[in-house]
Amino acid sequence: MTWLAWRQFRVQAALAVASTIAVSVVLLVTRTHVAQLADSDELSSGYKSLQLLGTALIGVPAFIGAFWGAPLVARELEAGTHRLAWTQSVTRRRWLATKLAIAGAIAVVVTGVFSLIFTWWSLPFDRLGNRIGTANFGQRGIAPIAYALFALILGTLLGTVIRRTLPAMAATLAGFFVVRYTFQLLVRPRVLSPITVTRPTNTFGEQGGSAADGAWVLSAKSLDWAGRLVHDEYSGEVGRAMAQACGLTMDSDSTQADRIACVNRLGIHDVVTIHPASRFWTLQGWETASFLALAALLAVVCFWWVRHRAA
Amino acid sequence: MIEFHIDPRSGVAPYRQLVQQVRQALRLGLLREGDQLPTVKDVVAQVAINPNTVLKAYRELEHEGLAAGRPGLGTFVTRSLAGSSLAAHKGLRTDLARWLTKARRAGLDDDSIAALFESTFRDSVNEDIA
Amino acid sequence: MIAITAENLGKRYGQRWALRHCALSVPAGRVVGLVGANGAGKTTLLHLGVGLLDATEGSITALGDRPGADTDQLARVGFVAQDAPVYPTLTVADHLRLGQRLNRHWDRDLAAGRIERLGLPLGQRAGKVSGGQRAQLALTIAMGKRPELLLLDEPVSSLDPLARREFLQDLMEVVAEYGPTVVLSSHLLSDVERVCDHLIVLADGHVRLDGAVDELLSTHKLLTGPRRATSSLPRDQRVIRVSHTDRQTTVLVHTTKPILDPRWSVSDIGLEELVLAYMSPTPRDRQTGELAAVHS
Repeated sequence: MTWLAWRQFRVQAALAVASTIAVSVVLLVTRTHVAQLADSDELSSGYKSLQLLGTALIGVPAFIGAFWGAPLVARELEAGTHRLAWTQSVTRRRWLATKLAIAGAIAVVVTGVFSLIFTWWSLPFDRLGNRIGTANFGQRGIAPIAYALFALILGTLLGTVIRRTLPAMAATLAGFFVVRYTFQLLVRPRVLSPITVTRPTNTFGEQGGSAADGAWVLSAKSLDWAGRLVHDEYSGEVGRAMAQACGLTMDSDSTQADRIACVNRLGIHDVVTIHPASRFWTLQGWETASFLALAALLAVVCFWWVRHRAA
Repeated sequence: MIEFHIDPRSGVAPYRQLVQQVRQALRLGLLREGDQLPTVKDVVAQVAINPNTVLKAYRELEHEGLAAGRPGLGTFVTRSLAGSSLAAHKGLRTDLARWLTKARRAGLDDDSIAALFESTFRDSVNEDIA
Repeated sequence: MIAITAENLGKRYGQRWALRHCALSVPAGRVVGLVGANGAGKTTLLHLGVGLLDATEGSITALGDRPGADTDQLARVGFVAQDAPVYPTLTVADHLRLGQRLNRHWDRDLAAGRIERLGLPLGQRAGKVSGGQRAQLALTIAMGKRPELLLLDEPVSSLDPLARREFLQDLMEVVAEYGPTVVLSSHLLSDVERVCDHLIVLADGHVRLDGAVDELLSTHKLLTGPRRATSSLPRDQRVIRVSHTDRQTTVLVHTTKPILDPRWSVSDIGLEELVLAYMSPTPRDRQTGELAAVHS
């Protein structure tokens, strides 16, 4: 059965390995240059290529789910070849397990290599920006591996239930992103209790400053010395709010000194709830474990469905 | 080696057709004493019929004393029919001619005579088997 | 030894029963013709027999075990689905390797020899060969594990007459060689008549006929006589089908005893006529709601 699973998967495996090698080579080669750039003004152009590869890494698990997972069973059901495969001497459980194992192993290796090299490559940028925030968290560390396995099993299950490859691919993409972003929105922030931090308003007109300590900012608001709310992140520009409170205007009539004086007079400070940067690997661990658990659950359902419903 | 063919429309059971074809071959001298009949496997590979049909035919030939199976070797012809020509059955011929005259006098036309002969013949064949 | 048994076997899809109350007993070593109209349940029955489907009610066993129960059971049963599915991007040679790797006992010489004799090109992708060659390839894979039971779902329906004849020749050769039980579903009664010695007729998801061909043909008689009611027939002569004209009555009966009533003229019935009689419900059946079924 291993032979057959390999034989059916070999093109996808070859493409995956080839692209991973290509990407890894590019990353390895550009690393030193990027590390130098990170401290200079040419940062922005470096950032552009960063975004591109990061987006690819977001897409890799989704791709694996739709292009490896969805056809795994659905293609056979569509073509009727399951009637050939399931009437040899191999049980359906062994058949599915072998196919999933092959695809899963390649998925883990490919995603793991890509993600870990990319995490290392991004370190110079991440020192200046942050990697724990929602923009970057999913493209770093080991979480993408769990996303990929989850997507693979999700795709396989949807393919088994829907029985047709194209609709299953679409459903997998939709389902994967829904779960992924629901988790990011609702679960990940609550995995550990966020820390509330008070700090001075950095500059008049900038909300809490850029998260210089690299934390994931969950919410932020500005209060005055009495604890009254001056501004929270939803009420619009900080500058305008503070100008109102100080009786200043936003135009060049009032100087930076005036504004700073106003902030000091009113005792305006920021209160932010964050997960600090030090929690990166802990959150990665929780994310990975959760998605692996989801994958395991879906796998149980998938095996049951293949055995009892699929033919 | 003899080659068989089955006519599904002839009204004669397939196994009997095989028997008849062997007898015909014997009569014409195409098969001689000591010749091997094709194996069951060869026959069905050529004619696409159930192997049991061939087995039945070969058993019938054994029963009629025309062939015998040798374990591990095959089925072989034990007797020839070439010697029995139609001329040797003069008595039967005369009887038949007399019967035909009777039938014509009874008013039967050619088709009716043929039908009468066919059905009686088939009945007698089936009785032999039973 | 019994190759296939079924007891009150039923399979439902949603609201529709594809098979209901089916009872079967197929002795080993037979070549069984499975006959019925489209939608009568032939494919469903075969899929149940090979473990691709689970029964909704009742039971079915193949070679004494639940179909698809485990590797051992799977190894003893060969199957070719309708339209002989193969992997289009895998070559003929790949398919032989598939047979070898996915089966515990694989007769490599038999399979490879067959492919060579049939002239199937080893390097050709299976999606590119003709329908007849695909059917032969699928049959080779099914035969290669030397199954004790071989189930074939309309294996010749898409083949031209020559390919069909070759397929049947090969099948009979395998039967002659080591005597597997073969169940072959088909629309072509001429083929069934040639190669089958056991017959199952399905109609509307029910088994109407299940028995040895010789016995079925000898126990069914066509009676013709002057017009009268069939109630005049003794009880042990079961009426299967009856039709009347203004002067004449024709009855198909199933009986093991001789017909003694001199007013009937008795004749034998051919296999095709017998099958057709059982495939269609008679007016009498529709009235009683009972389906005539014969098991022997």
